[in-house]
Amino acid sequence: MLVLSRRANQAIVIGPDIVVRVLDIRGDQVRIGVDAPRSVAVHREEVAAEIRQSNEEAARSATVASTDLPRPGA
Amino acid sequence: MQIATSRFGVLDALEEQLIEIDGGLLGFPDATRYIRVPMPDADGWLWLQSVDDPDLAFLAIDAFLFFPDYDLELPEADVTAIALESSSDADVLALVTVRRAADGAVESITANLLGPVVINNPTGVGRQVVLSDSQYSTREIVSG
Repeated sequence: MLVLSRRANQAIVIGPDIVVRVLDIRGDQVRIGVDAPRSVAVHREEVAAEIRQSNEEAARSATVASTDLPRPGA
Repeated sequence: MQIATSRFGVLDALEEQLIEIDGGLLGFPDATRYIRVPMPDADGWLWLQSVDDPDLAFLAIDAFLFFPDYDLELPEADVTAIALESSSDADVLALVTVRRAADGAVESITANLLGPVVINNPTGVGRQVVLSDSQYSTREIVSG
């Protein structure tokens, strides 16, 4: 992993059109601004991790009888 | 083509019935091709069966059928990735987890509304979307 030290208001540039800027540092919290084309997905790591965990649990939960399933709008 | 599955035996499917999940589902990057297996006698329920892994299948629901107020704003990156031209072309599925108590009784049935699977129906290309700043969780109770 490339590690770069940055201060508040400094940024790093990734590729031709992505800028990641440190906006504010307070204690152990850092505000980060991401300027990227709308075609680039940007999200918090923990949200993707949560979805991955949910997928893994769903893949294990497996079989169920249709009689055990709720009906829409019932 | 014939698809071997551990839950449904051998399924017969046409190439055009295959769904290509761009990048796979999160945690399952190697399984990118799926087929819908509707659940008999259960409107709105289906299985997403992997074509690449006979053991891999996900129970899923038609998200809007069970959550009519589901407020879904697709990030542009995802719309572009699956070349979605109109919302009416999209199928929105939520993967479901069934939890059972020690005695085998169904304890809870929850749907992942934080990471819906959006499929461009005309092309069969889909993607699991990460809804970063949404109010939804991976464990929304499915009731009727």
